[in-house]
Amino acid sequence: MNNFDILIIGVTILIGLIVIYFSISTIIETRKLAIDQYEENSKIRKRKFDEKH
Amino acid sequence: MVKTKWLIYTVAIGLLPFLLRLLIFLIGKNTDMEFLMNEADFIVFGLVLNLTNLNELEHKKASIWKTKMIGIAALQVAFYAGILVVSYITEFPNQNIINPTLLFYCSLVLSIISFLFSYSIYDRINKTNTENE
Repeated sequence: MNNFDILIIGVTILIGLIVIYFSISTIIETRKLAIDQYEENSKIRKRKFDEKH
Repeated sequence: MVKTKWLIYTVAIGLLPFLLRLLIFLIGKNTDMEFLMNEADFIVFGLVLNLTNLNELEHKKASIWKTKMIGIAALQVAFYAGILVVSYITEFPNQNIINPTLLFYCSLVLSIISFLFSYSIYDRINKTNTENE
């Protein structure tokens, strides 16, 4: 294994870890946003139901 | 719907070179594993995914998330372009600077990570309509 191979492995690991970090943080953030949106919609539905009855 | 379109138009088209190579590998009688292990197929797949990400994010409202994702996608495009050049150099006869097997595994790992990255972007676009113009 020469220096060039080590450089390619190093950069691949570095970029890979950065991309994995941002991907997972985006997925978690999306889940939170979806839950918030669902709760908000539930509240609106409940309010409309209470107004009718 | 956005995610389904992404799977059909981007992932399937991006993987087409590898799928065709796999088909030839399965049909052909005298093919070996080295024929299947072509780094350029996965580099192109990664490039297709990231360029589509850039194009998709272009039409979204400005936000910190969008800026971050465009930055990461551009970084990946630059790196993929670099390793594409390196993969072409491996085709030179009698070159012993670059290890083609190592380059293949690096591009394979990176393309899988790019798939995860692209999935996270399209998952967010699919689930949230607030960022649409």
